[in-house]
Amino acid sequence: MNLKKNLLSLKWDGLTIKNPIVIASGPAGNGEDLSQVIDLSKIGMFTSKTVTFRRTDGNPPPRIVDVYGGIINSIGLQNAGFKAFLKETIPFLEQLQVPVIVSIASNYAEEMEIMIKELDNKKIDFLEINFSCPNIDKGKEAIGTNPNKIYETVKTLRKLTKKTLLIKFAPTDTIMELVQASVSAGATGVVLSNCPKGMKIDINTMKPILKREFGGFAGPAIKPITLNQVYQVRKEFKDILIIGTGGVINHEDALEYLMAGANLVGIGFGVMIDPLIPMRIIKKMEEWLKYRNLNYSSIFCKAQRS
Amino acid sequence: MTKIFLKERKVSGDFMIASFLFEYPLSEKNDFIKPGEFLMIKNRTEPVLAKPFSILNINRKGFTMLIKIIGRFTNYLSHSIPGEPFFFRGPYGTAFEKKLDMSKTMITVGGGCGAAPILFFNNQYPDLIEKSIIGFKNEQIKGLIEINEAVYESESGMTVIDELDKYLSERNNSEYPNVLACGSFGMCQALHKHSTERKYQLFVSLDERMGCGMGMCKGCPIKTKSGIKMVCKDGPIFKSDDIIWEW
Repeated sequence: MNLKKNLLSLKWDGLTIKNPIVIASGPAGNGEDLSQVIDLSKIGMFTSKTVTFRRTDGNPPPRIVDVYGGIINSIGLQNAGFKAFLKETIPFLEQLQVPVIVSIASNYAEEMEIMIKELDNKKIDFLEINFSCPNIDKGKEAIGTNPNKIYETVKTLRKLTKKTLLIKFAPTDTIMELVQASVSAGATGVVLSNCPKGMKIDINTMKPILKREFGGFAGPAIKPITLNQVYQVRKEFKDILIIGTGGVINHEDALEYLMAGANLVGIGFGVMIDPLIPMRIIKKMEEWLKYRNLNYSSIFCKAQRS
Repeated sequence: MTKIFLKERKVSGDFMIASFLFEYPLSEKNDFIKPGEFLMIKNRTEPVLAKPFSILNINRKGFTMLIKIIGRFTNYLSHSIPGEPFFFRGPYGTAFEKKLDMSKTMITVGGGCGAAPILFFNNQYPDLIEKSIIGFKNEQIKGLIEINEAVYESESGMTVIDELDKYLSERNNSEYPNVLACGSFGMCQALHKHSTERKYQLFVSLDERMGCGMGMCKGCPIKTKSGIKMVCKDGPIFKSDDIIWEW
């Protein structure tokens, strides 16, 4: 028996997940390039890059600006659109030896319904509704920040699929209302958190470096914020699925998220630093647990006081 | 990521020459990286993105880079002490030879630290080089490296484009010239305009802020006639006619 493997494994709704490390949506694309570098079957779950109904060219450069503690990114959901995704990406995702989360976004309920209906027949495990990309114009005040709209949209989507349905939010003080709206409408859980908005100004031109002025702030600097979102949401919602993500670059970060109450831990920015980071985190987490004679269950939610 | 050690660094103004030693020497010379490809390098401890660098030359034991000190990492490197370990991954990118017609001679143009991959190319394929123009805004680089082909705007008042224009006017060759250039986006864009006026085939090697460096993150886009491409994976070399320069 391989004891090391068992230390990190978990189950969700009948699905056995090898370890809680999830490749988050975005920085790893749809996994084609990453699979050339690491064995994706060793990862807990893989999330595809958020797909939109129509092709999206994304934002003009620069798309990445370094700041202390991370980057401001302005990718703008560049993707080939849902039709191409079904034809070119789904076959790749379906053959991966790892549970897959497909991430979708749209500002129109009808587009989301079409995508969910199609994806319901595919060999994928979870669906992520990205209500929170900071880098698309129409998304700024769209569904993702309005609890009533969230409720209506999720309720409609829930009727179309029995798959695990996750809603992804950016950090906000009103997160409880948004999660409540999602869960009441039938969402299985939430992904906390997408990038908060951030800015960098070029002091020579005296203008924001990004053409859209702001972008998504990613990296270790946001971890205290996103970790708190996970902790607070878990305190109120004991049974929902939570993927904690934001600034995870080593095993200690991942352990903190599990202790705060995340079932799974997403890595995004870390994969951009070094695509081998997820493997290193899994190995170090195993060592950490083994050394202390602990396992996944014995640390999950342990930071919660009540 | 693979470990390398800083062997030596010399700084002159905004420029720096940095040499690194591999932790384990390469088994075969020149097989590891080709001109046009680049390495992603970062320091050991900071949780920051690795940065893309072209190399100037390489041997079994290590490699040398020509760097413009422009941001946090290059500034850090310019103060680092020989022996300090760094990490790299790669090489990434499309080698020049994969897109160029290697049966023809060409004119190579390098601007600023864009000189590095051009000098590497010149060195690897000396028989293909009809003429090379390596331009710098000032003479800082003279304190670091001797470049025979170098021209200095501060000395002559002429940019690399002026130099190229002069050469083409004096050129006694009826064959359609091919030009390979590497430099700032502005230089490449100006060269593209020049290429349409002077009618030559131009390939440019572009520099863009990168994320992963290997095509995953979509962080370094360039708009082309066949859609959005990534400078890190589809490039950095592009046929200038294929690029939609205004975005």
